[in-house]
Amino acid sequence: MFRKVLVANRGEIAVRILRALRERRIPGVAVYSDADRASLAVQLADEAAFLGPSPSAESYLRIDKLIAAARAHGADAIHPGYGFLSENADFAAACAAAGITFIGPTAAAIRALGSKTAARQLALAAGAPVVPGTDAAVATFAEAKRIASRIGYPVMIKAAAGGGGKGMRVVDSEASLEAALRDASSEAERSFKSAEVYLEKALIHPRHVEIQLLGDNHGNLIHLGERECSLQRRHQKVIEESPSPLSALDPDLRHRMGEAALKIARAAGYSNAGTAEFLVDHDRNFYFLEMNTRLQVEHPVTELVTSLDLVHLQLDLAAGAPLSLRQQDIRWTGHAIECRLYAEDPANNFFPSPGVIERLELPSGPGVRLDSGVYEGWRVPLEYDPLLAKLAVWAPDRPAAIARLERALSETVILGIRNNIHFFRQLLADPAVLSGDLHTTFLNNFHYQDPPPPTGEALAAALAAYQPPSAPLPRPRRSAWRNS
Amino acid sequence: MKPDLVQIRPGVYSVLLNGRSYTIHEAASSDWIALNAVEWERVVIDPRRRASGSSAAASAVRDVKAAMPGKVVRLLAAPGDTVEAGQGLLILEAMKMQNELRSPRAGVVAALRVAEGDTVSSGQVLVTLE
Repeated sequence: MFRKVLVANRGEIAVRILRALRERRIPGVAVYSDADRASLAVQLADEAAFLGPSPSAESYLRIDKLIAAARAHGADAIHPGYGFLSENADFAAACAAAGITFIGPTAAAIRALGSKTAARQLALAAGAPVVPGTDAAVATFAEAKRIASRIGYPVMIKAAAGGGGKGMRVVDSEASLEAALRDASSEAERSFKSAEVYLEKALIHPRHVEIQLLGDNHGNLIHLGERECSLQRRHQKVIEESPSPLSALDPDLRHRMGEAALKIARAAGYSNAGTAEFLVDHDRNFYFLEMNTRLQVEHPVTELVTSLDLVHLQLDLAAGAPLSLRQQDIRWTGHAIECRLYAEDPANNFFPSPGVIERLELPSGPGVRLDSGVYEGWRVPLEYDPLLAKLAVWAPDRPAAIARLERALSETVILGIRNNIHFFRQLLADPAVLSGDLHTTFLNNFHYQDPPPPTGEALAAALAAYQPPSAPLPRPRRSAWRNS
Repeated sequence: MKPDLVQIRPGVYSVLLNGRSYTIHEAASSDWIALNAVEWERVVIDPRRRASGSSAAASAVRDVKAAMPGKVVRLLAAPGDTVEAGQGLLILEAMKMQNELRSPRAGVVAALRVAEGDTVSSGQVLVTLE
């Protein structure tokens, strides 16, 4: 096992990984920028290394500084977390060149799956289903027109190097194809420094279901079942759960999707933790979207239903241990749901809301898991993603899990910055969410409203907190200070 | 029923009212409180603001009262001034926040019952309109 591990990340995921290291009695090194000197991760780490100024490009994205910090602290492995450099093949290669273990797949596997078009070709070759569309970047409008009429409208234009919804356009008819192609291409160029785009058939109201994979360095691969992440806003997941509500309708779906994901991972020579993302249509046909070659934000829901610890397993696998679990050893129990608590204003188009957390009350009790990167008094920096914490719950079934998540949210108070707690409380009360009838564009038509002001008794109670004690304190019968 | 108030720790209160339990958290310096873990902007629970919507009731108002205890920070009008509905009369600091107390209707200020720096209690008459 490793002597010492550097965590090349920040926020809740750095805390999550440092906790696993402490449980394995491996010293953990946190890294920090100017904005993160007082971070929870630094407090929970055994050692900490300064990276540089707050902008990510000068700190968390600096491969040279991270390698230097690992060397200076004598760390023999680096866990990249998610985001930042976690899917950067050059970083994985730089670690290997420096004799430091990158806790994740090989640079070659990241490269093979890194571009969506490359991953798609690999999936096709491996015999896994993909959304009908182009197998490579589209070069001309004429080519795009020909392909779109073959696969049928609506079609989706996507950036080959993209993610997070950048460079994406849905085109309903040929009339708007050329302009959309131009827009998507220039947006892709701006966002990813690559103007390459490709075409896919746009699925109507698909669900997002993904398969968690785990592989060792000896060619063994298993899957840990699915997570459904159909509740997304601008292609960013907000609620994730496992199992998918579809699994109740079609118990074999997990097996079929798991096998497809394993085919792709085998073809890529995949090792460590990864996730194959799929879209699922109304007839429960599923189509491979892309592979995330890292630990996912939403990994806790898989941990809750499988009783496995993915970060512990990542450490074992990266250290070269063979997989101790066979596919038939994996058991799924109950239901888990997670929501991502963000510093953002749901009443103002989810505008980020950095600032000081003046008051923080966190939930606990049966079945509640909180992965937080913040504390009362912490200033949420404006330089990074505004994720504060992930609140996940486990319960024996889905209705009980939703009730438990609502209960946990009702114990949670975050004051000083705007947040999305009440957005989740409204969302979890929606009949479609309760019935599990989800799709990836559901939130486009879900309209959040700030709660109405309190009235009547509730208002009286709120105001009472600001009244001075109305009755004078009873005067003591005999007072030691009486001088008369 | 009179509310039963207990301070749990600074900025956190438990209120029992008609047998029901309310917990109130206040932010140290911003405009937000949470009532049973639901957040409100403090100005929103200011009953004067809610009252300003009902013009029939407002037209009859003579006495402008303090809705909660506080301190008069600044006077914005003087006796004899003609004021519009919604025009500021004085600034009251309450709940750690400066609130502008606005005239519920158009009229003439008959008297200011308080001076700058005065501490006022809930329900106390601050301004009388003609």
